Amino acid sequence: MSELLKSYAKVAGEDAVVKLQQLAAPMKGAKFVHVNSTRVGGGVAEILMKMVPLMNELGIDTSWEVITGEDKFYQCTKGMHNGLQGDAVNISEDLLKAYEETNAKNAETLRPILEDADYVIIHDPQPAPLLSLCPKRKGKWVWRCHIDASKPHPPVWNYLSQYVKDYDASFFSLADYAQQLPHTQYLIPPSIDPLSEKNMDLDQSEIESVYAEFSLDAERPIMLQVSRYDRFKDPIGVIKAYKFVKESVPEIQLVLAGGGATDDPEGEEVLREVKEAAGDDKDIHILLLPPDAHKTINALQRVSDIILQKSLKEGFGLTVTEAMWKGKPIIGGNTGGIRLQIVNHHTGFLVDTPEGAALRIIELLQNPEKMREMGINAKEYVRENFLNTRHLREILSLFTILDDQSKT
Amino acid sequence: MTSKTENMQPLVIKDCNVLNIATGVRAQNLKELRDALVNIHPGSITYHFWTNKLRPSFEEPEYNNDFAIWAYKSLHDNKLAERLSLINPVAFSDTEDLRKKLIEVLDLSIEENQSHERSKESEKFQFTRSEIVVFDKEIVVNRPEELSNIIGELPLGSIYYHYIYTNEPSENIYTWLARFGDQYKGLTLEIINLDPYLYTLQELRSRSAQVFKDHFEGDAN
Repeated sequence: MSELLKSYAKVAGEDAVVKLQQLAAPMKGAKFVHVNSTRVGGGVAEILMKMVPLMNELGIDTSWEVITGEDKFYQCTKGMHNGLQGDAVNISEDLLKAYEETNAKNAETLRPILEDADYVIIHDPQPAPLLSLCPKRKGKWVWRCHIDASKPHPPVWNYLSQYVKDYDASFFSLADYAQQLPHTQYLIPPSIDPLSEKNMDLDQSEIESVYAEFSLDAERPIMLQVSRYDRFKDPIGVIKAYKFVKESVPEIQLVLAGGGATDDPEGEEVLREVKEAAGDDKDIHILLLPPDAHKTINALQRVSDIILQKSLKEGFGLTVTEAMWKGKPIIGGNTGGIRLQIVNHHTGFLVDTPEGAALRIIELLQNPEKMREMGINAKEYVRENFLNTRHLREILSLFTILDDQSKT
Repeated sequence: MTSKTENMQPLVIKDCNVLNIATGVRAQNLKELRDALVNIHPGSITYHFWTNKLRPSFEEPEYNNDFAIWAYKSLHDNKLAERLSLINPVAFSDTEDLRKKLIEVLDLSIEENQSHERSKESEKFQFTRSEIVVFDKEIVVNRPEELSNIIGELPLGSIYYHYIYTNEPSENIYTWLARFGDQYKGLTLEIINLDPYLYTLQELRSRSAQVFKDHFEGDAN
């Protein structure tokens, strides 16, 4: 076993790695390609950043390709993202044309790699048309939807499904997100990498450095939400919850730590709204972190007492898993993939309102023993269910099943 | 001439990974559940009675199948939950009979129940099925004594595979034990008496380990 695999075995258990080796053995040397639309920022990029090297370590010849486009392309795909999450968006013909042209342009470059690949995963709507643009493809193609598509705006899904329906299979994070499609829809939740800078163990000095860096008081409780400045993440709701908590626990501090994803054009506008809602409260710390601030986020999660992910819509919410891996109780919006990660009253609390979040925060701050117990539960729950070793095992199982089906 | 037990095939221990599949079929009330059950993939019925045992949980499940749990938690219909829970899949020779029984119980409740309770949108019953990928644990057991030493440590995927999933005679725990004949008749009967439907996989594993231990320690004494 290589050093990297040994490191995974140490955290996830040897059995987890042995299973990966068994599944990867028949795929040794096969060409496996992932395609998405951003190399930095957002959950998909974070997953691929660590999963691709792990796949290569297992002997699968894996590459990660990124499609690129201009403003209109990202406006269109942001509209699709919001539409899949249920917003009644109207995407203009002009934007759809940019979407189609961008995919056609990217296909010119990617076609040789994609048509030659044995296995392809296309992530999310941005590169979905690539399958139709690679007529000489020889491998198995699977579409991965990371978005909460439980109630998509029908025109958006109808448009997108014309590209998705021809894939060999698709996979979603939750059963609720599955759609009417002519192929099998697997259920595979995403994961975190326990060895990444965002999740690895840190020295105490590294952890404590964030107090000075962000003017936080180590003696007072901290509540934290890590997420992009996006309305669906409800940063304004978090500020409301903080204000309710402040009435009972005046010493509370709030940290909102976010950054932008290169494929999200709305971030700046939401950030402005958040700053406006925070006003001049010195205990609200609004951080705009660069996409590579992984260790900073890791340390912020470790110095926090309670972590929130009060999303209104959430495909999965990797920040929830990250916080749980740090042994912290988490308060999450009762929506999407958050419901899969937070086992209510065991690894944290699910809430529907800022008032609900405030109630649970106050309850936990008054009961440190409960906080500790929930944190222990949370970490073990992640070890069993949400590490990338489990995630990759399921992806490789999916392609094993597709291979077996084509043999019979 | 060799004895009967020497001719026995060894038990090659397997583990499995279950991959869940969304059928896209959902129900929000009893009528929708009943109507969906008429045509749902048989693998989905199996899933909600058996594969659910592999789902992680912090609590003892109130009931043993997903239909009963949903009736209790999402429809708040305790009476129906109890009736559904009493349906033991072990008693049915095939999934079609099990399907008929489920529909019969639901029909009775629909007839009695005038409330037409609906689950929350977020708590719809999601019909799911699964496919399985099998792993070789690289452990071979020749005799029940050897199984006794390791059964308490086997992963839950192995317990699921050998007790519930496989009907292959050389891999299914019940048929494998039965092949040893009278020599292990008592042990085999005790293992058969551990109804896998009534226990979580953790309980099934620990109770089995205890049965094996009692059997062989008894022999030694």
